[in-house]
Amino acid sequence: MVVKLSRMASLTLAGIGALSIAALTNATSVRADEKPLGHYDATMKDFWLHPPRDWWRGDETEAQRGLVPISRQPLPTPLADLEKNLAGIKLPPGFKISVYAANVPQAREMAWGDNGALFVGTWDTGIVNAIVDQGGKRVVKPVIKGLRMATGVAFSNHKLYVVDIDKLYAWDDPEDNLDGLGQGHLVYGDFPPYTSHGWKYITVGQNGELYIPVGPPCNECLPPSGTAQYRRINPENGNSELWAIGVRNSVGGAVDPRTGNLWFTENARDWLGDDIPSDKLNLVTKTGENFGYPYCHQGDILDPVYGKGHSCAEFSPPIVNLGPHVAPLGMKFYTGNQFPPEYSGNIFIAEHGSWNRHEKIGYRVERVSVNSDGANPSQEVFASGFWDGDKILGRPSDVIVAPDGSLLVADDYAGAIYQISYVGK
Amino acid sequence: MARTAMFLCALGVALTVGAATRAQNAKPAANDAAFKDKVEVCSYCHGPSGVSQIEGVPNLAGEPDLFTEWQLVYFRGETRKNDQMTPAAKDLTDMDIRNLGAYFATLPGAAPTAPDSDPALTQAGAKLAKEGHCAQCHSDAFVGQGEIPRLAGQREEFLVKALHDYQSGARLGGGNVIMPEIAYSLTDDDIGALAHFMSRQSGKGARQ
Repeated sequence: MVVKLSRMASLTLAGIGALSIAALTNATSVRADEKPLGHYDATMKDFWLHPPRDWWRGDETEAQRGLVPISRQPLPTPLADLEKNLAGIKLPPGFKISVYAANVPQAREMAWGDNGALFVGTWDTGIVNAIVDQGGKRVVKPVIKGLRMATGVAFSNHKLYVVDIDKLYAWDDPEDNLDGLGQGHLVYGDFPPYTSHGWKYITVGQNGELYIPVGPPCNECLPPSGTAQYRRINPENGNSELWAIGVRNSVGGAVDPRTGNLWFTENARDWLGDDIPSDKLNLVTKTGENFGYPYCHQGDILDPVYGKGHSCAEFSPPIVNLGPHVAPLGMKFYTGNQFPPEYSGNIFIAEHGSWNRHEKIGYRVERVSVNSDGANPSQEVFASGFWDGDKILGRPSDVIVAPDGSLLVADDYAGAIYQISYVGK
Repeated sequence: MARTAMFLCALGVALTVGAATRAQNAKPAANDAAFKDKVEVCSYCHGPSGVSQIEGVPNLAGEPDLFTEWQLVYFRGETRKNDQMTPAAKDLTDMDIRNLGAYFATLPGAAPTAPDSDPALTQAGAKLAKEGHCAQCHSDAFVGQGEIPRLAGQREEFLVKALHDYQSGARLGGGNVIMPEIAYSLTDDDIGALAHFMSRQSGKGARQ
């Protein structure tokens, strides 16, 4: 119990200032003169630059020892190997998958330019790539360099937007200058600068507004104010509004073409077990809606520590529980004309795949069909096999509908973009 | 875990490559004298068997393949800057990097041979390692896994440098930024103790 309390206290951002408590898993080794493990005072600037060093951990049990985030591949998978890998991907009848572009390192969020360039974010190389057609051949060009984590990209109103942890930049008419985009201009710079859950995704609203998540610098904690939320930013003047709170780590969202409402995916906390809690698909129907983090997970599990004194009924439940640790990232509504009519308006979700679980799950693209008010949700696996039971072949990180109605899938593990087309029976 | 046996003929030795989480399809260069030359360039500083005899230069023997590959990618892209390694990595191809990663992973990691000069410091380091949950990622015997490096038997002064580089921001830890955050709150004494402890580990008893 002592252990539990010290963990709880050390992860709590109490209003009384710094808590200097060694958060050890073994209380018997605590000594009075021991240096505190974390400094949890969010009122100090230092906190925002260097969150607690145990930020990604939890109360891991002996059985969970050795579970770590999946090692990334340093180099993209060569084209010939990608093609072999795709032969094992399972799709519904009538669909086929092919390599759209190889050698797209760490491919994350995708966005179409006005003139057919596909902009692709990256994990931590600080680069944004553009995939362009040059003489009938697709070429991958690094067009922006020198950022920190350029995970989120979007295109709206002739501008390319890139979110880089704490800064949102824009480039005007980027397709006119693909050989030298130069410095973008700062649109908004008031996100926390820490990297922990600092990687972001941009969702463009129907009037060009940008929805951007702000993750908490921890696995499970009372989030510092200004984090664990969605903000809506007006890129014309840099004004921001709080759009949703109680959001853990969201790296994907889409605006419903039927209503203009924001839907988003959310990665739930780690270390509660292999089968809980489920990651979520949420719908925001009113400004400032609370989705439950850190108190309530998957709509019906109170957190063992932070849930005390709360009820899940206080919070907006998920529309769909996608499964434990599946890691849903980028999502889009299907707005193309190529797939059969029953796919129209469905949601496709890229599931990066699990690490905080003994048996792997996710590593696929999921399809969700749901009414615009969240009623009648149903989900099924659309493209699976990126975990083949023995090894990881890829990790879907985003999806986007192509002008021809096919679906592109970004893979930040293999470093590739795939194209899923409907060719009929 | 599946292990893939691959053969680097030019080296005249059969090499078993632990490749549980990496791309399985990469093939080492089938010949070749060119690859042997590249290994030789590494060995000038890092030692002919990947065990360095030069102060400040790390051992590479026994490092997990993905770790070595990542560092070469970082050096090549100048994400990680170093006067010796930046030019050395500049012209490496992807295949060179895959092969070098696989090669050093097969060499037996260094283990301490001299008696421990400071057992009390080793103990202090052991305690810090436990508190810091180092084994959660670096494995029980600190031999690393995937993109996470082997620490066991690494040169002490290099580990001191690495932790200081993480602390100062000179070296980034990749997107998950675990190492910079861990190193940020360590004192110089902590770093000294951790480095000493890790350098004294044999790497034996690794849990698979």
